[in-house]
Formats: sequence, C-alpha cells, structure tokens
Amino acid sequence: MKNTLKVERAKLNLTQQDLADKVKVSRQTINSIETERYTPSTVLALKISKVFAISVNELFTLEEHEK
Amino acid sequence: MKKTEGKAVGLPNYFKKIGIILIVLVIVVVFILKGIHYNFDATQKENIKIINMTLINIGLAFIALAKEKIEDEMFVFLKLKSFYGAFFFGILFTIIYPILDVITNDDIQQIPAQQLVTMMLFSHISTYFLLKRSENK
Repeated sequence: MKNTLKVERAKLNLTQQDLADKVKVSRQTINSIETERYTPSTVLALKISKVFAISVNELFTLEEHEK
Repeated sequence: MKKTEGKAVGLPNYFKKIGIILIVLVIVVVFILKGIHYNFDATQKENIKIINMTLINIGLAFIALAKEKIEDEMFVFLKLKSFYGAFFFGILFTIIYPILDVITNDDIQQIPAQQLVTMMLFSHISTYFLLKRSENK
C-alpha cells in the first residue's frame, strides 16, 4: 500500500515525532508507515488522515497487485 | 471503536529492568557458588539448578511480557510475529531433539519443560529485538 504521508507531513511542516505525538503512537511506527514497511490499522489510518484533513483514500492507495 | 482497537496487554515497562536485574543476579550467584567451592550434595545441586532456571525464566518472562514505553499497534504486531516464531521454534525443537538423540545413538530423552520454556522465551526476545531494530532503520 502506497501513501503520501511524507508529502503531507512536509506540507504542514511536521516532523515524524510531531505526527506521532498527535496520533499517540511511536516515531518508529510513523517511520515504518512512511517507508511502507508497516500497514496501519483502519483506526490509525483515520487518525492520521484527520491530522492532514484529507480522506484516507487520498492518503493511502492500493498498489496495482493489491487491487 | 474501543472493542476492536485491542489495548496492549502486558506488564509495565519497568519490568524489563527487573527481569534483566534478576537474570544478572542469578548469574552472579552462580559464579559466587562456584567460587566458594562448597561441597553440595547431588540433591542440593539439583535444587539449586532448578531454582536458578526458574528465576531465569521469571526474568525472561518479565522482559518478554513488559510493554514498550509507547506500546502502539506496530509493536503489538511485532510481538505477535515473534511469539509465533517462538511457538514454531518450540514445536520444531521438540521434534528435532529426539531425532538428534537417535542420530547420536543416545537414549531418547524427554526435553525438560524448563529448558523448553527458556529457549522459547529467548527465541521470542531475540526475534522481537531484531524485528524492532529492522523497523528502526
């Protein structure tokens, strides 16, 4: 699953730690999501998208082989 | 959505330190007992061995079950993966152990439960540590 977390974070000038604090997870988790090593749960995906005020679909998209 | 969010269960984070201290203490006591050259009889030696193994298992269990400072869903997932690995390792060990006895022409022996628990806990802790490190890159 691809995501635009890094881009969205840059737009708001947030560090990984800032985002982690906002959604109450560790910085490592944000880093793993950003580098696509970990796929977040629906709840976490919703929390993150709420921070950026965009929909989950805009933030996370399925890759071709996942469709 | 509280029901399915899955709160992390486990001991508080400081139990990790307690576990490490307990294991270090057991190792120190073992060295002291070896150093004093006291003549323990066979039963005493066996009892000391069982007590030490139990304390080491308690220490390892404390480390394995202690939560992270910020225990989020990714760490729960990593723990689940390493518990699965340890469970698989335990099964594999119980299958291979008697086979090795046959190969080496020894009598087939039962695996001591304490030894199996120690190996499974150690397998879990080391796998979890490696997974955590790979996520930190």
